[in-house]
Amino acid sequence: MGRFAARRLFQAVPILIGLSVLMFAWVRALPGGPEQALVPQDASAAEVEQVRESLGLNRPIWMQYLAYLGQVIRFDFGTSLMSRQPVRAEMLDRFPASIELGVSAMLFALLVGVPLGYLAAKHYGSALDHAFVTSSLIGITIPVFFMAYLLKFVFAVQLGWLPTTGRSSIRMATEHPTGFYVLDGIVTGNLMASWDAIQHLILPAIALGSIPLAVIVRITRAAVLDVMNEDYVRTAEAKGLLKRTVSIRHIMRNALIPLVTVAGLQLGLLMSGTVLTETVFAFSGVGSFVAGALFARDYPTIQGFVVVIALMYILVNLLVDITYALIDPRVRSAQ
Amino acid sequence: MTSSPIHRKLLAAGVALGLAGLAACGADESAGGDGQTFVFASSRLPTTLDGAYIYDNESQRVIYQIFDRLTNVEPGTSELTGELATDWDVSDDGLRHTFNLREGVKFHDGTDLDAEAVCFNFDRLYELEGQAQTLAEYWKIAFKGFKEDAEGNSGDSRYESCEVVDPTTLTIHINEPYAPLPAAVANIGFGIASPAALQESGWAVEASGDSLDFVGKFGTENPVGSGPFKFESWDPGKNVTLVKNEEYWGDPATIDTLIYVPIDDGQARRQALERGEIDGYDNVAPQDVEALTSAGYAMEERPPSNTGYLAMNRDFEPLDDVEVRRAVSHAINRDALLQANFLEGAVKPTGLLPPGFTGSDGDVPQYEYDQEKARELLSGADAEDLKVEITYATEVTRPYMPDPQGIAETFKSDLEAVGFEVTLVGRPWSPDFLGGIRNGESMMYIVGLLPDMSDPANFMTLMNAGPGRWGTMPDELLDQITAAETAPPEEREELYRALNAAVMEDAPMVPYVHAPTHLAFREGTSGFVPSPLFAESMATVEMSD
Repeated sequence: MGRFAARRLFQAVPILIGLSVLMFAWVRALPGGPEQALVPQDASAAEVEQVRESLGLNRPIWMQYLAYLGQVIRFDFGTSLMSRQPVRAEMLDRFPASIELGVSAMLFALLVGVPLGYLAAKHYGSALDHAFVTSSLIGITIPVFFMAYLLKFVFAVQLGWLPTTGRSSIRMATEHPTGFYVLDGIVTGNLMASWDAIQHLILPAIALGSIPLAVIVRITRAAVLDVMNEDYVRTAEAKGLLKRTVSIRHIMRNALIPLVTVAGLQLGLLMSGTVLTETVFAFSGVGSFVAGALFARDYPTIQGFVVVIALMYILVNLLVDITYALIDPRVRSAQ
Repeated sequence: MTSSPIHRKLLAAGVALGLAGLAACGADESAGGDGQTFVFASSRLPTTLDGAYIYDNESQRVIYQIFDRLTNVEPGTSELTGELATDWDVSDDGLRHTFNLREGVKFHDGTDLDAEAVCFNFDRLYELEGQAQTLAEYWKIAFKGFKEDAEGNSGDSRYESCEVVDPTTLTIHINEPYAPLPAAVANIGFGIASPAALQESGWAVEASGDSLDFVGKFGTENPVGSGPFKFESWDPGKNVTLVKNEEYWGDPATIDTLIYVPIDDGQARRQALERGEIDGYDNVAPQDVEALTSAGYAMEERPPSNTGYLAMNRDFEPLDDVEVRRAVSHAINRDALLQANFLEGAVKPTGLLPPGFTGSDGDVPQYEYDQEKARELLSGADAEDLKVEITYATEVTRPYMPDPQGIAETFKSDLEAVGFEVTLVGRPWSPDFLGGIRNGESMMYIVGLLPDMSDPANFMTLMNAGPGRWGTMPDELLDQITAAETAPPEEREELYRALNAAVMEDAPMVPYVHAPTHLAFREGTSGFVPSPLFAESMATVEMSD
């Protein structure tokens, strides 16, 4: 397993280099450049040109790329044009936020989606089956920003049950050694801070989790239906095993294989959903920041974040493959 | 089925977290310190707290609380007054500005704010080098160049030196008359900082990859001024915290802790206020003003000091013909535009200068809405075809253009009614839209100006901002702008009146609005004085319990 993981990680290196080249060329192909963002609104074209020259943006693109690579090797991604903070500091701050949100959203989707899919399959063709499948479609049919606004309006603004914005209460004194706020509360012994962070996560996680929910319900339902008709399930039932044992050991374990693949891919796709969810809830994560960087031609932020996002995508896929092998011994032996 | 050790651990962790939640449910939140804490939401946090390097309102509003300037404007007006300077005097030749300082003022670090400290600040800006010069926009507005340019040559600066006459008197020497100087140094870019803190932390700016890096940490870690609030902490991306300066030379603030948080989305800011998560925010959406007011929130209207305008670049045909530009001015129904897009406090401009600015009250040619007149002017014009293109900005709103596309569509329909053929082009605000107008790519475009100082020169120099924006402007007009800038104070009012009229005679733009902006505060908040120049102190704000 270790060798398999190492090989996969090694394979990621050319992918990341290729991506960084593409990203580097692409942002430079866009009209305008960072020099426009560095000068005030009323600056003249001559002033802009002067800044462009002083930043070395008129050098040949390969020279600029080599200079960039030299920086990245030292884990220096430059300074964000928008916030004027080092991109590395922004990453350390924002990735934990989005990972926390993404994982919470996926947990919501799995905790709700898998039981719904399982029950739908068990009651195949019944009204319950139709009801579950239809209701799970809500996530796909309602745009995520609308869902986010709706949840926020009802549960935060009208009912006042949950906070409307941010990752923690502004007036609460907290420390953040890891950047994962729920974990930080536990690490620093401030459980109130953990609970506060969870409260701030609930609505954005439900809004964002509604995207993969429908897929997870449908995949679970289909996989369970598939497995339920297998010979080994019938055999297990014929042996007189407990219903619960048959469900968990024989049906769910096998049905999980396609589910893990889909959940892994969906986790990557959630990144696109975070742009809108994070904006609605003023959740200072990766999505809204990178979207803003794109409009501002914030080269250092775009280049740095996109490569790290790609690396995370690769790692999630690797994790999916490893989980796959843990669930299904046939995959392990094939490796 | 028996539980595995892993199952048991997961269960234990779940129970622990659940208990933590229950334990926390009834607990009180710990406030950000003793006394009154005020949380203000802006659309984003400052880029730095060194006023030398900023030109945006979000940085300005925080810096304003930490630093004092030599001069300032009277609260809520654009009328100049003294702040650290009790009075000032200009020599007959206009080359020496002498300021008398308030006595006994201390910086937050306990050092003296005297003439030497003030001159240190001016000299630091004059001697800025390299990339720091790129960002020092307010210095460039007031003094043009620096001691040396990038090549080490003379930087073509208006500034010569700062002379310490005695501990409370200093003289700024300049090499050409520049009457707006006392108004220019009221700007946030001239906040007086502690020389000790500047020297301790540094203020250098260096290129870093494709961006600029604040190598000196004065503005990010150690901003020390003499204002009513002291810098406490900055958690990037999350908040900036200031605390009351107990030793302030003026009336001390009533708030003890002032926290700025970024909430980019306007709707999210409103909801955060309604939920009590914040105590106030800026840039209330026009559609929220009435709802929040009737719900009991304290609403403050900032007097309209901006000008929104439809610019015409005369390097494009048919706009090279003054009759065509005047026809455009007559074709646009500004009353209807204001009614449809702006709140009640919006003012229809009579010229480029907003009300209250020196020279804004002169006799200026007016272009009232008159389609017949517009058609008549067009029939007499040389223009062969009347195809025009209007560029508007997307992904942005400004007080003078809350809905850029909607305003562009109104212009299109008004112009088409008199015979123009109009194409609309939307471009993202930065860099596409702004880059386009700088490079002379945009034929007509909708933009505006938020003033940096209480002087008409701020608006009029806009006409001299390079050929990209307006095309080739007549030399006489440009000379008139320079003459007004360098004239003795007593002649300026008349010169700016004439200039305001001359600009409108030439019709390079259609000024369509001076728009107010709004700030909302939680119920029971008082004492905030909105300023047309964003010179807004939080020291006077009071909150009811």
